[in-house]
Amino acid sequence: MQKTVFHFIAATILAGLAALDPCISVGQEKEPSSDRILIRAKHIYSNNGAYGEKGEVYICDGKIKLVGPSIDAPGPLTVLEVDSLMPGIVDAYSSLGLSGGTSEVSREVTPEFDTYSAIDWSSRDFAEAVDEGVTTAQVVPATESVFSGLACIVKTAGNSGERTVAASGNAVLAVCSDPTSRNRARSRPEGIYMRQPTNRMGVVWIIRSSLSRVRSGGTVDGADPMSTELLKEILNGKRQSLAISRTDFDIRSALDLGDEFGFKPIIYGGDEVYRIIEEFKKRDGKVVYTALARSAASNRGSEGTALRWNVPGKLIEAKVPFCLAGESLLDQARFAHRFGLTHEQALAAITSRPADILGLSNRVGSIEAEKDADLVALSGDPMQPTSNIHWTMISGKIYGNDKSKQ
Amino acid sequence: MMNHFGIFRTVTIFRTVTILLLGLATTAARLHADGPLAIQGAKIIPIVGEPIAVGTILIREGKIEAIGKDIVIPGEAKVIDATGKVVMPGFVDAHNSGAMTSANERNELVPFLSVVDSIDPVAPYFEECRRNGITSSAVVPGNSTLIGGQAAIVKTAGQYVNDMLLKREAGLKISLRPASGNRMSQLAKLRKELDKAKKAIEKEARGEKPDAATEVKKEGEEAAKPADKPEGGPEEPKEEGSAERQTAGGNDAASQAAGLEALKKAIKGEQPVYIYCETGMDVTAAFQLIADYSLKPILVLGQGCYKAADLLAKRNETVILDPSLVFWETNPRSREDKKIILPQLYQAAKVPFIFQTEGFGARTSLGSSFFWFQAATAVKYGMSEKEALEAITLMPAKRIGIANLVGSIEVGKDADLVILSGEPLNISTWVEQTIIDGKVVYERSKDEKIKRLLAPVAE
Repeated sequence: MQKTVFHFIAATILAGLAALDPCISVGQEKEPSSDRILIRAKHIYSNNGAYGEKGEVYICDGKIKLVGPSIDAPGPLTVLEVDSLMPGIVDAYSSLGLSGGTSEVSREVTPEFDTYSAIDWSSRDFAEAVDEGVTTAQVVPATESVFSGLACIVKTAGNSGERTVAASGNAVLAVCSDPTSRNRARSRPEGIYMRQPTNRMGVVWIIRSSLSRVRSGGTVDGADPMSTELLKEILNGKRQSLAISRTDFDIRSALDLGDEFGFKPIIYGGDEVYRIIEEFKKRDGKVVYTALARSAASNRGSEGTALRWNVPGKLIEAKVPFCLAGESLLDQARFAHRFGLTHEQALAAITSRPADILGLSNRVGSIEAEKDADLVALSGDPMQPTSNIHWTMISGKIYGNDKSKQ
Repeated sequence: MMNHFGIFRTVTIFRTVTILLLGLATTAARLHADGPLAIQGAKIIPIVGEPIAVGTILIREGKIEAIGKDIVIPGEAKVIDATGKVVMPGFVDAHNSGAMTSANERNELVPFLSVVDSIDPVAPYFEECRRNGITSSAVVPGNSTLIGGQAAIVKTAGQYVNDMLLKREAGLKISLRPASGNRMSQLAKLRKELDKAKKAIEKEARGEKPDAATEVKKEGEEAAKPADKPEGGPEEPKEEGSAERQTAGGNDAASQAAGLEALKKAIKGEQPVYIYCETGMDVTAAFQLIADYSLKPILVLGQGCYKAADLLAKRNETVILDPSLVFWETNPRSREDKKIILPQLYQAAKVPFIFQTEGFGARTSLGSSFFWFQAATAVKYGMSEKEALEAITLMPAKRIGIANLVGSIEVGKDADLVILSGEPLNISTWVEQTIIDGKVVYERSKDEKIKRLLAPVAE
């Protein structure tokens, strides 16, 4: 039944658009085209359609054109047979390619510092990310200054220039104890490291005082005029902010500051969000949860947040928008599945959910027509630790296709 | 603060409960007061022999009495219904320092030390072992001390260290990773010590009087080794005492003599030698040492050792891999990035290997903390499941010389078993019960920590 419907839809679309779209009309070339790809998968795992069922995906010009149980794709094309196919992984919290230091340590208010200007596009980070199935990543500055800078969103591979998804994006606020950790004022009173704050009260105060000054038409002490402009954008809602907060009281502080100044930061980190989950839900919080990541322990410094494995389950139960983020995302999803999420929920937590949170659900995060052809082919069920990634496709181009792995 | 309180409270309660339960269990084991135990209805993966789709295991007096499809369960037997579950031999950890409060000694030459003195039966390590199906573990000094002391093999449940001990002098630990960054002096120091022991053995063989160092041997031995307590008697871990000895430095005659004895045993082949190699060049050095001093090695390999895989293949001995099985390298000259997959490389080179874990479920290493995950990783990169399961049970048992007791489900072996909720390498499979010497030492249904981790409710 479903197959027939898909056939019908596919045929209708093909007939209707054939005249307009070069992807639909039969090509003139005789050789298989690398621009037109048909993937036949034994299992397609995407949050739409028949989850885990057999299916086909037709790709042209870097976009997904058709998805269905069976597709009569036109013209010469490359046909790929795979076992399992899932959407490319979206990592909302990475430092991929960020070169030459990830954090500003000479000043506290550097909201205009832009990660996009420091991306090493040939960094090994990207090769590793592609190998692990990550196709889209937000690059976030480290959190040793209070207004840490601007994040950007990039594809993990492709021709330079085509890899940018969002340059100079979200503004990053460190609403946590991190900015106090690098203060070396005691050892070098005259050095560039002589700076505030030395405690977490100071962190919140710097955010409040900076935003207050800008709101009342003033400028931020000792900061670049550009800083003032950026803070204005946060205040008038033109620029989304994200707050790095892991303990329950840090998360509260971030939300309180948002209420005080009329903006809604998305919480990144969120280890202890389960402690205040009802309140968090009432306040329309969104969280990018990183506590299952390998580096979480080193990130959180002295905060000593308690270990909980099934916070994602709690977030889903409370219907709080969230996603998983950080390194080894596929393994994170596998463990989230082990700890309580369903297969579909765990997969969504690293694909469609982060795409939603980043505002990119029209482009990435699922296998649907007109989305970017960002796909991952595996040897078996994506949630099993024994399944291997055969290749990763980004905008219709295949990376890491190692025949020996198949 | 609340966290800390919460954890402290839970740990305390758990410890108390564990002590009580294990106290009863171990007493019972010694008296053989309990009758036979039968596990029925499960799929059995015995490791030696083919899996049995639905079978029964009969346990008597801590040993496996029978295994098969049609075993008659005696009327007096306690029966565990494991229908739909999978039973495997308990996992064997061939190299871990988790049971020690501090894995490495600051003094670099301490062959006279024994990990037995630093094993704490209520250490979180053992709790995690039982939770994760590890039933035997070789506790070995860390990788940062030149001659770090002597390993011991223990079962992972017991009230006192003596209840747990399988083997006391289970291997002398040597690390070829230079603490000070200089490989020349590292090797020279090591050879100097080994030469002393070799000469002492040669002198003895010629019937000559031992020199001054061995003259004080008897006195030294008594000082260095704690007097054996009556079996089953209380032997509280003496943390203060061992700390004192750890910093004693080994310059006194007593420790010199005890250390010499340990080295002599290694050279005579009475005690194996765990040799930690950090890189490929350490492997070459290790082979030279093995040849020069006729050592019985157990090679513990760091990440870079794969470069010596062809050399390792010639020895055809099981090696212990680094816990990070997959990592990336950049060629310093060509700037080429390369993904290194250790199980794949060693399998291709035909070097038999077993695994290590790290961190035990600490959030820093959710994957490599678990033996099942390490085995799954090897399967992901081409190993058969059968081989991978052998690499976490029988192979490590053979490697550390306890395969006569554990590592497979065979009649006459210790009843060290794990009952799994499903197929061993499936992501959703959990250890339901762990059994050591026929006693249930872990039950998931009673595991408060797992409940807390999986059901996040603010305290």
